[in-house]
Amino acid sequence: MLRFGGVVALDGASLAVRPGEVVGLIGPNGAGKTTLLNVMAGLLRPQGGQVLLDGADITRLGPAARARRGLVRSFQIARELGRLTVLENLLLAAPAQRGEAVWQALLRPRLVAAEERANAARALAILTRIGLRAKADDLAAGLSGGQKKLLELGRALMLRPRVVLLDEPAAGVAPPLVQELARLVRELAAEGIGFALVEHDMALVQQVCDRVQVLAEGRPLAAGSFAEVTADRRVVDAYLGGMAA
Amino acid sequence: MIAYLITIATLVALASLVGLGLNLQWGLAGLANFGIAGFYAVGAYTVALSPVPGVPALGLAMLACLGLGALLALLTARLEAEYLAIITIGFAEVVRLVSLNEGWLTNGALGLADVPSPVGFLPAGWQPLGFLGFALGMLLASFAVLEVLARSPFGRALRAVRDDDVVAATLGKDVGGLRVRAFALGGAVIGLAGGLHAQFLSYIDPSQFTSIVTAYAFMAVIAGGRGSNLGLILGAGSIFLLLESTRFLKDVIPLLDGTRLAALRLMLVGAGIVLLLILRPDGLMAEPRRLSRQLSPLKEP
Ligand SMILES: Nc1ncnc2c1ncn2[C@@H]1O[C@H](COP(=O)(O)OP(=O)(O)OP(=O)(O)O)[C@@H](O)[C@H]1O
Ligand SMILES: [Mg+2]
Repeated sequence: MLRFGGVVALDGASLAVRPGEVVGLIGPNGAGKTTLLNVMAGLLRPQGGQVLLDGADITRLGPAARARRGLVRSFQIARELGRLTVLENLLLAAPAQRGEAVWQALLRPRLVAAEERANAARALAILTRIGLRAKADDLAAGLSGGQKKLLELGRALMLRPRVVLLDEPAAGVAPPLVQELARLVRELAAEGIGFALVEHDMALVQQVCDRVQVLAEGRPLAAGSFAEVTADRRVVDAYLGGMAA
Repeated sequence: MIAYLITIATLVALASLVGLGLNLQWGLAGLANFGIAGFYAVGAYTVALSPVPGVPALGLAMLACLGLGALLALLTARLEAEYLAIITIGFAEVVRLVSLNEGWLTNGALGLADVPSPVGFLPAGWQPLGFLGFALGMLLASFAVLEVLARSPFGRALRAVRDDDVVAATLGKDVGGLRVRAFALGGAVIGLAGGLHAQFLSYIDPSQFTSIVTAYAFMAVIAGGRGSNLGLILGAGSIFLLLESTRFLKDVIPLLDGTRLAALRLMLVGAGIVLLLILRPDGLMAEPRRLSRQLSPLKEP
């Protein structure tokens, strides 16, 4: 349950993601999808309800603590760190870095250098996977809109996540790259990562999601396979209503 | 003339130190510190009041400012970074009032005299040069430490916090903790500069710690390039060069009297910075980046 002043953005909505599963979250504009991801990632505090990870209640944890436990989100409007290089964007996300402690950075230079090299090797492998290897040393500000969305995914992967929340990862991405993205998400799910995928590109949802939940005006409307959900009269109405409004 | 040049060089070294502290706080971590004059004064008074002279006194000055920096940052750790900036203004004002009014401690407007020099053992004629060397040594050591930090994962995390703290948090970074560390460490460096100031002049009073200290530090960092330590030392150097070279304008333009000249010199510095930022919007130097070839033995495909 979450209100923005008078607007009830979420009311009774829920979302469960199992390891290795891709769950689609769809709904008309303003349905509360981004808000639900924000609540799960710890960027918004709900007025009621809870967030669980592996059965543990993490509702009171901040976003950083959740990320360290393996729950990470991407942003609907890509938020690259433009003055860092693409590689630095990924290196930043590497978990448990000793070099982030002042004393280690000053007194254990060789240890920190070795850690950096190991993280860089992993970052470059991820960049190869998302097709951004050639851009590694460019400032992230110079990427195209689609590449920035891929960078968001790469950064999330760098955290060794268990659950990734993707907010419209295909919006603004060129069609061949969307195919690449779909393949990647399936591959990563097969490796055991759970995904929640908010997306308006229905072809992509159909292609990658194991099951789909529909949200409308902050309330759960329907759930099931893509075919079941899209055949549901209420879902069609909600989308049409959304368009008419 | 030589003595004059040594004095200027020493002042540039001190200004560079202040700039280094601000560059960590604001350049890298995005925390504007409008209370630099306050930290600088605390450093100076700590050294002047210290029971021990020399380097240990400077250590005390750094510790005092480290603690105060951490305290200010902790007070606002759960708020937006702008609140810290506001608090620093109040902090500088409190320091000014204490230095003026708490006579039992600071001797008020009369100030404190006879601060021992760390190079007092040298023959008098050699002391200015000796102190310059001492100050440059401190500058070099601070530069080395801050440069290692700026290029480390710690520095990278600070830049991330500066540019988008929400993203940094969603990537697992302890935003508040990073800010407290950066602000405290930067404060310590400014405190060191203030301590050296007291040892250099051997006499301090509240009039030496006005907000112009803060303004010069921001000018040096902006001119040098936010985030670049080398750039800001060049920036501090250029500003003093401009300030000091314009001192001789009155020999060239006979119309100028002292007051006119003082105002004109500050205007020239301002105009110089505007011109520089038009020509080089990012300052003299860019902040360092981590490139893949520095990190990977592999050849580019
Ligand atoms: N910060 C905010 N303050 C006030 N209202 C908000 C805020 N954020 C979202 N809302 C409102 O909450 C509702 C849900 O918004 P949300 O962004 O979660 O929708 P969405 O499903 O992600 O939509 P879209 O498909 O357009 O991205 C909308 O009515 C929106 O206007
Ligand atoms: Mg949204």
